[in-house]
Amino acid sequence: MNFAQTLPWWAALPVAFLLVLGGLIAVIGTLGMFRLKSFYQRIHGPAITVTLGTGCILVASMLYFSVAQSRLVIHELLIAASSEPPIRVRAWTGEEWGPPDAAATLVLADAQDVALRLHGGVSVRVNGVDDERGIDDHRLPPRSPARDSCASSIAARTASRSSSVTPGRPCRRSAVRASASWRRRYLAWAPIASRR
Amino acid sequence: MTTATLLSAAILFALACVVLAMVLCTLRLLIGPSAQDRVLALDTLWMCTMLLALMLGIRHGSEIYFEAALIIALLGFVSTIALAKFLMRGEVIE
Repeated sequence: MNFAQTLPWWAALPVAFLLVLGGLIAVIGTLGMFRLKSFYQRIHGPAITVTLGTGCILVASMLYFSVAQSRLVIHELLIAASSEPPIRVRAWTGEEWGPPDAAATLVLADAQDVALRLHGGVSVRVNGVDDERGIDDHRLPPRSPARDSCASSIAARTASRSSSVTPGRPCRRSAVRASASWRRRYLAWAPIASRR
Repeated sequence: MTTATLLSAAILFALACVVLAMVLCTLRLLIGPSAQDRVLALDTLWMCTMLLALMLGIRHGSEIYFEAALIIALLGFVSTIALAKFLMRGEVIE
């Protein structure tokens, strides 16, 4: 190994410390994702891994290459810019709306349009059941009329009766057929959708 | 204890930690009860791979690994967004 012969101790010490810290934080965050019970608890572990662990190792890399090459090497910031922002998973999985039992969640979730898969956790918690059925098997709250046109047309096709389908977003059958659980969700709410 | 031994020991320890994290991610990817758990585990797996590439770059003193890490980070971000969009809407490109 030929890398650290010229590295002075005042640079090697923080680099080693940051590497050890980053590795430990990464494994702790992943352990949290592996062991915690519900999805909303599980999502906090990778957040730590992505922000703090990656940050430590990126700073270690910047420090090491800056000292080893005697120039400022900060292109690791590109990785930080692409991975550090907390919009990463949490914006899509609903962590930024806080814990699912918060009252503000229902307001901020903006009634079924933001993240369809978020509503499992929300509705389960709101009903006071608080089990860990996950977010797949649950009953969805009613959705917006623009999306309900799709569901009602499916209901009309399956029940072979003509219902008044309001013109809205066009139904894409391939998208609905993409997953069976997706289709089941649509069909579960089809009666409510066609009643409206 | 020279600085070379200190650094190599630290890098080996961090590599072992990240590999353990990747194993845990893979287990969660396999046993995840919902699709969201699997997406989360896959995203963390991407991040751990990126960290692995970065630490290999430090270990070998090479800048080549940085480009690999950058590509891994960008691809992981885009694929996570695409998977989350698919779970949310049922289609990726509307």
